[in-house]
Amino acid sequence: MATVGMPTLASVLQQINLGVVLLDAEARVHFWNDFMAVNSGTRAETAVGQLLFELCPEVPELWIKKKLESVFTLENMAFSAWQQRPHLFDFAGSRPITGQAQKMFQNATFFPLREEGGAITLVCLALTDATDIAVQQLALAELNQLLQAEKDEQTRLIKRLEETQAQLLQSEKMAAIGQLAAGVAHEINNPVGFVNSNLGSLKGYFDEVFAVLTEYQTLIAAQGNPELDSAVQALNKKADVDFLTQDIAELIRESQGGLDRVKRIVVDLRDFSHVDSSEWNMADLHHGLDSTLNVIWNEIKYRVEIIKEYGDIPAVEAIGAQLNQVFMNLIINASHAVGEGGHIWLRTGTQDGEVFVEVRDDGCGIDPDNLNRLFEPFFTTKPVGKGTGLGLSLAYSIINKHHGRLTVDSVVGEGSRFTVWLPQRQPAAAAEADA
Amino acid sequence: MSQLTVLSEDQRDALQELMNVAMGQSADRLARLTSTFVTLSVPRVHAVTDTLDKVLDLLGLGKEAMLVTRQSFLGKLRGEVLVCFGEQGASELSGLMGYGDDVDASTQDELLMDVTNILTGACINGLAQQIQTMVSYGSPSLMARAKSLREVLQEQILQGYQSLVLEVRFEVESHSFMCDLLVCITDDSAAVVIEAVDQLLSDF
Repeated sequence: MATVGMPTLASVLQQINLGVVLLDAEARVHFWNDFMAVNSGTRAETAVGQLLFELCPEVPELWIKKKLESVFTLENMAFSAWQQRPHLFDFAGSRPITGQAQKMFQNATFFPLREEGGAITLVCLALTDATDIAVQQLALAELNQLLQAEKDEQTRLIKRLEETQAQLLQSEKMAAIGQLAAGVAHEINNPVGFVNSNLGSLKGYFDEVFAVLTEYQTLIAAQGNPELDSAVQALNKKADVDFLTQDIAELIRESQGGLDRVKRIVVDLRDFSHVDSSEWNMADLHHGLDSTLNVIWNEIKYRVEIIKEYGDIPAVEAIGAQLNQVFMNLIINASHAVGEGGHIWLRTGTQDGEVFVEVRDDGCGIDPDNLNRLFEPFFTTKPVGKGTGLGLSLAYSIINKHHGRLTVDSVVGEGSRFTVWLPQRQPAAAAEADA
Repeated sequence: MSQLTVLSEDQRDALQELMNVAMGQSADRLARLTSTFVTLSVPRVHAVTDTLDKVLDLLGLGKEAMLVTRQSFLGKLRGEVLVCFGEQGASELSGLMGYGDDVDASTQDELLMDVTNILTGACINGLAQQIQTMVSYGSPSLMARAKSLREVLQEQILQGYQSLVLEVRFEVESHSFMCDLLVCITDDSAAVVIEAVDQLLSDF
């Protein structure tokens, strides 16, 4: 086999598909192969003898000097990678037609050239074209980023979907309860109606019976028959007619009062749930507050004192039944916060063209950490099974739908204040779309 | 059975001494390069035959988040060097290494690669000379950012892979800079090192 001669090896170096540059400690070029000449446009005759950073101004002087110094001093290789220094030399991209890269990405290796005697006088810079890999990697990185962004967006959407679903469930539940309540209210209304009317008749009849009775007694007294008189008086005494006369009237009056209350509760229950009306109309908020109080009265009456501070407010365009639900949530929450013997203030009024309903309590207050999570679905500080964590989030979304605001401020140990702000009229288009 | 598990007390001492000589030469060169006073700690030798957790406990640098780079050395002596930087990386050294004081993110990475390469070269060349073998190097790369070494190793190192870990601490006092080098030598080439150690021992 023929030995490969030095001239052949020199040709290899000259023509290899790699940049090969020999540099001394000052960074002066001693060798410049074809790859370098072709890509830089500077012929070897011109390049040799020049300082690299002057020949190629894009190579930082300080950087290249330090690099060479480290190779000479440590007698060790040094590297430059496209990830950190993409374009050491300002060469045009190696895919002029199909690639996106304007410039060539390069990896460089510096290694000390050990002469026969062991001395090192030159450093070889070997430059490889990393454009293909770099472009692919950059595209992949970009794609990764895109995928990640999409994934994040999906996670966000899924979370929103879950929240919406939860709210839907809750509002469906409320609607079902409302429907049930309305049905029951209707059923109660009929018997209450005829009992009431019967009671009215009964009162009339009794009045008449007693009038007749009194007449009889007057007639008997007029006879002047002492025997008959004493017999009648004994009978009267035995039956305690005086008391009966009084008490029957009392009983009937009380029963009528009771029936009136039943009627009012039934009406309020129907108003409150108002299943039939998910329509926008002009709602009287005071009326809404009162019916709500009536419905939940049983739950709060023994524990809390309600103080109404109603202002002078106009009717508001709203879905009344939904607002009632908000009031109910706020008042019940307040009653839970205050516990035994607390106070709840219901204040209404107008400010800057908005109508507000304020539910304030002197209860335990809300921890600042929890304040900004209040309206999150499923967020609750109540023990397991006590609260679903949906009440306030539902209230929030209802008020949102009304183009209003639900604000809260609270001091731990002093109490909380929730304020519902509502516009008097809904923006025309929105009201139609949402209805 | 690996030779590592049966590394005798004498062998371990000799290896430590061998590394120490190599490090001394490296420190001298680094000092000349950076014109500052450089300290390289006496290397500690661990045979990674135990579980990873145990090794990390021994090294005492498993937990805190750091920047980790790596570089391969190839030949009869084969393995990788992991360099653990603090979260600041090597920005302290930018002046010393020929970068301006005002360095952007990619320059900071380049600086890390440079420091990794120089330290790896210094240690491995020293060791290779001591055992009279030739080495070549791959280019350094970033392995992890803001992760603990434990995470990094669990993600990227084959479990149960036996190797020899040499731990060296590198300090540049004037620049409040410090990093740890883990020189991991593969099981098979560790045999080469141990052979050289035995040679050294028999010479005494």
